[in-house]
Formats: sequence, C-alpha cells, structure tokens
Amino acid sequence: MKLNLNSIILCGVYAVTLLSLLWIPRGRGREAQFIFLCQGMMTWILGLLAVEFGWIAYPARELQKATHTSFAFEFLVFPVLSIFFTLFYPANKSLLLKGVYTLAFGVGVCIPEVILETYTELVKYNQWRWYWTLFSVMVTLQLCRGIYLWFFRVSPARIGEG
Amino acid sequence: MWHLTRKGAGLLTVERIIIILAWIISLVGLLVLKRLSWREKFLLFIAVQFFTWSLGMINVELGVIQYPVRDFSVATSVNFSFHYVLFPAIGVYFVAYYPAGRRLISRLLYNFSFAAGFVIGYVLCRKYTELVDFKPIYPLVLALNVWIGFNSVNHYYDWFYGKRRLRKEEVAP
Repeated sequence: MKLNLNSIILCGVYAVTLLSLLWIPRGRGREAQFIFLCQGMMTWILGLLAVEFGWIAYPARELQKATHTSFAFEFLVFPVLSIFFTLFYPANKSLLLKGVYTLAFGVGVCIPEVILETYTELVKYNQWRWYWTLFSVMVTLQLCRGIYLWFFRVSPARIGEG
Repeated sequence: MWHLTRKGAGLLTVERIIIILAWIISLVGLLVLKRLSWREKFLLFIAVQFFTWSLGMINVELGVIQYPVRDFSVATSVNFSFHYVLFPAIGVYFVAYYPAGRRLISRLLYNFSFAAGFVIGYVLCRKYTELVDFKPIYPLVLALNVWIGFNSVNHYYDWFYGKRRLRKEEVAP
C-alpha cells in the first residue's frame, strides 16, 4: 500500500484504537477480552457476507490478497468499540437513555464511515446505505452485550455499576 | 458463493462435501463434549478463532498457501469454514483432553499428534482435492502455528479461570 491519504488515515485509526485500550477500567481485562473476541466472531462472518454479495467494498485495505473486507474495522476498531459499549452501558437507567446510548454508537460509526466513503477509497458503498450500517452496528452491539451477560452470569440491572 | 474450478463438476463435489462435513462434525463435536461447560467451550472457541483468523490470513497473504476451492470465493482467499468452525472446534478438544498432570513425554506426544493430524489432513486435501495448494515449507509453518496457537489458548484458559493445571508442582514448604 502506497503512502497516501488512505494509508495515513488507516495508520491513525490503528493508533487511536490501540491507545483507547488504556481507557479500559482496571480489573475488567477479562470482560474486555471476552467482548473483543466475541464481537470478532460476529463481524468476521457478517463482514464476509456483505462483501461476498457485493453490497460494500474496501478498495484500500491492509491485506490485499487474503481478504476483501476491512481488517482494521472488523477485527480491531469495531470489537474495541464493543468493549466500551458494553462496559459503560447504562444498564440501570431508563429505556430511553439506553436507546439513545445505543443510537449514539450507531451514529458514531455511521458518520465517519459516510465521510470516508465520500472522500477516500477506504470504503465504497454499492447497494449498501448508511442506515444499513446504523442498523447492523446497533444490532450487533446489543447481541454481543447479550452474550456477555450470559457468559458472566450477570443480571442486566447490575452492569454499569462497577 | 461457491467457487468452482473444475469444469462440469456436479453440485456435490468432494470439496463441498468436505466443507459441509466440517460444519457438521464441528458443531456435533462441540455439542457432545461434556468435559467443559458451555461457557468454557464458548470462550475457548472464540479464543482459538483469534489465532485462526490472524494466522490464516497472514499465511495466505505471504503466499505459502492457497485455497483454490473455498466457500467465500469473492470476499476472502482463506477457507472460511475451516478457520471459523473446524479448527476452533479441534482447539476446544485440544484443551479439553490435554494431559496436564502427565509426564512430559505424553504431553509432547499429545502436542505432536495434533500438529501431525493437521499436516496429514492438509497433505491429503492437496493430493485428492482442490481445497488447498501450498509450498513445501507450509507443513512446517502449519505445525508451528498449531503448536503455538493451541498451547497459547491452553495457557489462556488457565489464566482466564485462575486455574493451575499447567503450573509445575510447587514444592511443599
């Protein structure tokens, strides 16, 4: 990959994502790792499906041969985002606040993606639309949180207190 | 979705049968495994996946192996089913039956038989199917990957649950 706008942005994304790991609260490393691995399991297959059907493409990417999906987004950025989504989820707040919280994460992925779609080669929509991103991000975040609740045997109300 | 290199091949090629069998064997294998709880199995499964997706992609990117006939023929050059379910399921079994309390020789033999199993499987697939094609160095790379990946997950499991299976016997005071 040549040094251009795409690769500079990609390097920045890696740096920011790795640095953000420092924000994981102490003593919650196991939970964070579980969420990371669990979300990776889901984005792996969903990302492949979206590319296989030609809905979305990632022309500028790290691994040219091995995969046509975005390695950075699917195996790093989104799993890390899921960690923060789940660890800081406002479980004992009102349903409205939970909805706004989830929506905020969806919008938080959507807006940068639409900007990157317009100005760079990092991601290109074919039949894909921004609201598909919004929807799939919100659903997978909640799904991952559901598995997290099952795995750590926590009643939903107690999460977020720690 | 299915990529066919053989002209005039029927719907059920040997490659497809192997991929479908990989799914069935893996899922049934996980279902019947009673030594570990579902939570433990799930954790081990996704922990092995971490190694299979990263190592699988790196090997293909480096060009030591190709998967000419595969499931997601457009989206990835790696065989998805093998790395997503089959290898993780084998990894779960590796940890479940690991002879932690036994002598060094049996632990080495246990490790060796898993690595050898992978290499034999790949060699047979290359000889009789179009699922894989690899360079002569690949069996060595594969054996190392299996060794490192499975043992890392084995230790990770101990760490995650605070177990002391793999620790050396501590001398009593």
